[in-house]
Amino acid sequence: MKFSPAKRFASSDLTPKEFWPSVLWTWAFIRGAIVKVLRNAPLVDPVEFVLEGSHVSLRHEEAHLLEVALL
Amino acid sequence: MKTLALVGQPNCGKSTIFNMLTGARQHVANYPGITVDVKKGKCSLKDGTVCEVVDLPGIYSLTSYSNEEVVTRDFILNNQVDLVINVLDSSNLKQGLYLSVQFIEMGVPMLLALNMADVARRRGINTDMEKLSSILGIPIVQTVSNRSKGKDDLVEAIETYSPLPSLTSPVNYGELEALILELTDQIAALPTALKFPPRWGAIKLLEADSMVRQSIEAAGSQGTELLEKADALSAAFAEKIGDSTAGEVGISRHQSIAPLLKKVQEQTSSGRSFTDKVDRIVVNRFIGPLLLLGIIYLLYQLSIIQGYKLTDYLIPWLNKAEFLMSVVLPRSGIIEEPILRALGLGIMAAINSVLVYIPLFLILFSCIAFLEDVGYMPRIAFILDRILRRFGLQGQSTLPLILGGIFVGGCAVPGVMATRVIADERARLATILVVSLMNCLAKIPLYTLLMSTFSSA
Repeated sequence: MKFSPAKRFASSDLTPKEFWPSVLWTWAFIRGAIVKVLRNAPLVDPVEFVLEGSHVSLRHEEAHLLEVALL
Repeated sequence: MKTLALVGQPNCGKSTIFNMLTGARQHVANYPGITVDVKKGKCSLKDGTVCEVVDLPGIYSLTSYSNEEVVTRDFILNNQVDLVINVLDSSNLKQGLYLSVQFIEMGVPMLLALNMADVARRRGINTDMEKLSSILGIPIVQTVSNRSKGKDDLVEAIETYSPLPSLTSPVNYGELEALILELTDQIAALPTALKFPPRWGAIKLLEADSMVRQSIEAAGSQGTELLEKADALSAAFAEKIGDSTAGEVGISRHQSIAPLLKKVQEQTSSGRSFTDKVDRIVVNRFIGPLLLLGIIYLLYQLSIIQGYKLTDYLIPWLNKAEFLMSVVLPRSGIIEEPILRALGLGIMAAINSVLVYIPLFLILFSCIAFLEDVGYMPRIAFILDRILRRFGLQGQSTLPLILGGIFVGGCAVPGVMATRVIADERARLATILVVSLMNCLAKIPLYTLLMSTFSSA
């Protein structure tokens, strides 16, 4: 799935992945949470999301490990 | 002497609260084996009681994923802390309370300092502190630590604090509650006394916390049986609901905090529009890199070009000091020089060679502090992450590299110190190794010496 600006996703899985920093839990990346792609960095990576009002940046390879459904 | 522990998430203004309380009289203790600093200082209450204030590392949660989290929870569990002051960013209570509820579950005496109240007000966020205090059962004070506002209220709250008979966590764990109760009873029945409350231990077991598991395992065969039971209960629960117990614990916390905030908080405007507008330019695909190049050039112009101009004013004074020293010291003979003179002049020359860089450092570090304060550093990390990752580094390596001198010179010492913010151990080690190779200003005389030695030959 391509994370392009303005796309909205809903988190569908909460299985912790090894790379997950605990900050993602704190930022409410929980099942059903709405994630909006805000922008890609000038060199494409990382990608900035808005998650429950918080801004989170992840590299694309990390973002692809998150299980989400396109809204 | 009372011990006060300051805890909170990164960037919530915890260190400024520490400075406000202690007047920045502090010493830094480094925990053995890990690069996490714990600042300690003293403050006096109005009744004359002296308190030791401990500024613990900023953490997001009380798991055992990072060194910071381990240090913070070990300090709280292993020391007789009289009061935990949990500092929260008023403009982002949702995240802050995620940590607070975990301290409440730990059963520690605690008060909340809702810091950055001015930022929350600007963003149109109003919080009913009394209501929040009565729901959580803990005293709350409001502070704006960078302007030293709320210090009196905080000191008074520390003085008048009296432990409540029972703190009740606002988190409803739903279906997990039966498992928690069962494990709590079994932990309480262990023959060895543990350093943490049984209920907190039970929740941590469901989160598969490695350190809590180790503590229970150390309790002998009964502990091992308990762990096996916890694993079996977790596995059965996961199979039933299709999710891990660790995930369900996190969900329960968030689902309990959201309605709690709705009761005590109202937001009249979004408040992020200005930052969003600035970000549209600063991290824009085309303008962002150009702006970054411009800022690096400006940094070079100000700190190196203008800094060296300032050293022109400083050098005559340093030469005068060296001359004065040569007059005061014993005179040299025709063929021999007294050791006192050679030593004195040698030390003076060494001191001067460091002092000459003061204007450069003053400008450079002021500029870096300014960029950090206005929030440009995370934007640099955002722009440069892709380049840095090729070298095994992260966006977070940017500040250490800039301090170390990647752009316009710097100093490896603060550069290496700044690497402590990098959570990933491999990236932190790589950054430390790279920063040490940067063109640190203090290394230039050494390069000059080596070049003159070998090139003349």
